[in-house]
Amino acid sequence: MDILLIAILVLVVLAALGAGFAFMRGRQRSGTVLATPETSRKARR
Amino acid sequence: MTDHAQTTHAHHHLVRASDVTGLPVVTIDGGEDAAEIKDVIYDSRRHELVGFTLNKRGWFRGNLKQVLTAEHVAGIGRDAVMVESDTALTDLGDAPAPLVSSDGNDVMGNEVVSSDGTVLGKVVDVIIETGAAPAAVGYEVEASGQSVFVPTSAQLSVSGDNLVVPPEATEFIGNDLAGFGASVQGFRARLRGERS
Amino acid sequence: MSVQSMRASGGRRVVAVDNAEELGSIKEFVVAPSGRRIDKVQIGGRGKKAEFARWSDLESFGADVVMAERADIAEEAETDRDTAAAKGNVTLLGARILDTDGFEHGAVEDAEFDTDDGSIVSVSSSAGTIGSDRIRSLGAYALVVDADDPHN
Repeated sequence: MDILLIAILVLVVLAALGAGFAFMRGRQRSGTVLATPETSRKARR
Repeated sequence: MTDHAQTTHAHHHLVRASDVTGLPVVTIDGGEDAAEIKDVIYDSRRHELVGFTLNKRGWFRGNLKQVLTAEHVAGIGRDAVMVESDTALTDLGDAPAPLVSSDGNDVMGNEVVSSDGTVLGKVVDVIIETGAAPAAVGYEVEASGQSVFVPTSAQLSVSGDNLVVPPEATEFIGNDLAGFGASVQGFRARLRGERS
Repeated sequence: MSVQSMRASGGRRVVAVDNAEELGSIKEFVVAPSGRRIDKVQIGGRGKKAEFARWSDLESFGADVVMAERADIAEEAETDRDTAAAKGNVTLLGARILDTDGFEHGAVEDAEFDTDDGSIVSVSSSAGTIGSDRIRSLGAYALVVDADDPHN
């Protein structure tokens, strides 16, 4: 019984870690395309 | 063709900006991946590419405190963005404002509206022409599950929500990326003709 | 001038000319950052404890056995690049081929080198052969080569 509990705990921790990693990597990896803001553009030659 | 001492090759091709994000930045003199492309930033009026913000390579991919300006790009390809060496990256303190500030307009997902009030679709990508003077040359617009390409020269204005184009932009819409280059030339010629 | 295959040379025994002692065998090639020259070969050990022979200490690179000038040529890693090669992080064989336009062309399957001075003559992949005059650098990420002109 005890072994089963420990095994489940380990699985839960691993799953949480995995989700955490995936979340972190997903956030930082995402890049996008930006146009410079029109209103704050200074005149350039 | 403009001269840039940094660029090794002058020929150019079209790439999707969303394909460029996430590409490694590789040094020509070292064969090392110095960074990863995060955001692609272009000038909303003249459409020239301003540069890229960067992430670190590796597991944690945090923000890198450096940027890559368009002048220092040696090549943009399907698999990597090339620079001559890692000195091509610019520290945040020396970088041009648009690459440092966070007030750029995210154009992905913008609604595309013609100036006579018709909604044409949504922006799903920006098409970049690579080469000595890289620039945003078109938008990929999706409507009813189909993609069309609209030249950036057609753009009247852009914000974080909308892209406004003149009604005649629809005549020069290309349906595939390969044919898009020709339609860009046609539209530019037409615009010049109307203004003279 | 004798030109040999890097892949075929792997595992070749290294024997000292002065006392006939077997010093080791070719485990890895340490290629310069330019990507155009073999500086050293790893002849023994592993990782940080790898042992190397300078190309200049090799007297002849035979088709069967490599002859070293003396028995005491083995050295420890001098630079991070030596260790990186021994760990397999920077190797010419298997390197991703990336051109200066940012396009990949498969991986290096073999390389031909001049046995006299260790200079790389060419590299080959499933995409074809690339002469060393087009090689720009070899690093942990890729072998960088000049793009064809014009690129498609």
